[in-house]
Amino acid sequence: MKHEIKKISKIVDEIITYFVYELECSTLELRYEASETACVLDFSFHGIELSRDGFTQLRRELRGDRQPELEDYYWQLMGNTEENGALALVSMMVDNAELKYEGDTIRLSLRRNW
Amino acid sequence: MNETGKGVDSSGCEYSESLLMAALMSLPVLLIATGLAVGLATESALDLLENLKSILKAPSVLLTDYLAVGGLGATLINAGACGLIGCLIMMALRIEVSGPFIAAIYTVIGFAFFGKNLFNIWPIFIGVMLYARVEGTPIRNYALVAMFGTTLAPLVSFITFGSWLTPALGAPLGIALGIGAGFVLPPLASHMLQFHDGYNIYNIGFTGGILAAFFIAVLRSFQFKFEPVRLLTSEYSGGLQVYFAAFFLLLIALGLWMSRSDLPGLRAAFARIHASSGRLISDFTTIGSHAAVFVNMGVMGLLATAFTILLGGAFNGPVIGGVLTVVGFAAFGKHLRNCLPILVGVFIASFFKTWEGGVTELVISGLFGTTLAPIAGHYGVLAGMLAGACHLSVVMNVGMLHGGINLYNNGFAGGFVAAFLAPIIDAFKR
Repeated sequence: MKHEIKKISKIVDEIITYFVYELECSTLELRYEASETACVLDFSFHGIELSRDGFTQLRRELRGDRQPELEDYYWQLMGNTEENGALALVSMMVDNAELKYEGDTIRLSLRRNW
Repeated sequence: MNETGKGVDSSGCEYSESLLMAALMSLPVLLIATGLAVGLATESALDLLENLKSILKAPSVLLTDYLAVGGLGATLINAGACGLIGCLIMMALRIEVSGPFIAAIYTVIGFAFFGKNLFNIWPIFIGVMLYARVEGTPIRNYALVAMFGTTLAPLVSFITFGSWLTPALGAPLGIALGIGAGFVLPPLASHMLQFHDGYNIYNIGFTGGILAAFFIAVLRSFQFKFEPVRLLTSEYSGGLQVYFAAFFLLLIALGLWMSRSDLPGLRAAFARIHASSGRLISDFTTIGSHAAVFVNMGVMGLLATAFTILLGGAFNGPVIGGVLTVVGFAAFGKHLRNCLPILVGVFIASFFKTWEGGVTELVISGLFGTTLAPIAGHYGVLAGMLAGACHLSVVMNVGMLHGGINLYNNGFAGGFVAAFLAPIIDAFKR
């Protein structure tokens, strides 16, 4: 559980930076829910125009397995720049990521087990 | 999420973990076999053992070429064995073959030609493991730091065999310092990433430099003297150039064979790799594919070999270390597009600057200077060339801080260059 809250805030930072800076979303909503076993982050980003290929690429970047052997070393890199490369870090720090693109809204749900 | 299971890369091709591990282990096994064959063909088994002992007892500070210390056979065995230990640790901890670990294994092998050996890497490993134990974290979480952390292995060897202490007194102190260095590396390495924001790929080189500077400052106040070493040989250069070039071609062939049923997929994965800036953390096995990574490794190995030959450099220990590190990081941040500007920058700057040492120092400054590849990848060719040119100057001035104890001297220098250049370029870019 060490640095756990800081890690979650870095994930939020990285995701928001990407969707606001890179995808230029106009409005966003965030719901944070913590239980004894996990933390779930539900994002809704509105006003997004993204091609099918772009969405596929985004899913590819977020779909990797959680990699604890890299997380403890690299997590401090998240949220430091506006480049989207750190999405790979988000992917290796969460156990599950679900993405839906409806109209101009992308809904993203991230689950991180403690 | 997690639509692709383990051992399946983003191109959709399935490779078994055992095939990938076999591919990773091919170089260490080949080196050990070659070392035994060459060693036993040219000297007695007893002499080979004696030469291996000479390597283990070398103080190992920069630049100590093990080819000059123990000859070809013993050096190849040492390099292969160190790499094999890394692979076995990965297997024992059930770590998958990913870009960062390919880079780590090749870096360990490369530096086992001039600084890491079967004696001095263990205290660092033990220190990192102790930290994991104290933190209550699984050891595998810090395995990567442990492998890269062997940058400080000469600290153990120098105190044991190169200081005013007798080996009987030096060994316990050297081992204790090595364990201590390993123990503090994980939190430091993670924290130091923020200094350069991931634009210096050899982050532990930077961390190791800071740590070594601290250790050296304290040791100097106890009469320990750290003199620069320049023990190099070009005796085996020609043969080793051919040997490694052939291996790099095999890597390309392996990648093509793995993608034999989907060459367009390989091309697409290769393109994705080259579209990446290379900034930490860019795992090319997930951005591209394992097959594309092996092709990229082979291509980068040939580029590094060509760069060495172009500059008139010999394949000695440090240069082989540089070449193999470039090859390893071709799985974790380096490709032609982001490395060429750095190499060109170093090459052009060499005409206008004076630098310490000879061609070897220039060649390794270029090869290891590709630690700054993300600057070229993110900010463009000119920024990359500028970074390469700056790196050549900085790297010649930071060695004195750590007394040659930090093997990743270029990673140390690269940290300063990246931290200095990236924000400035970023400011003018907007």
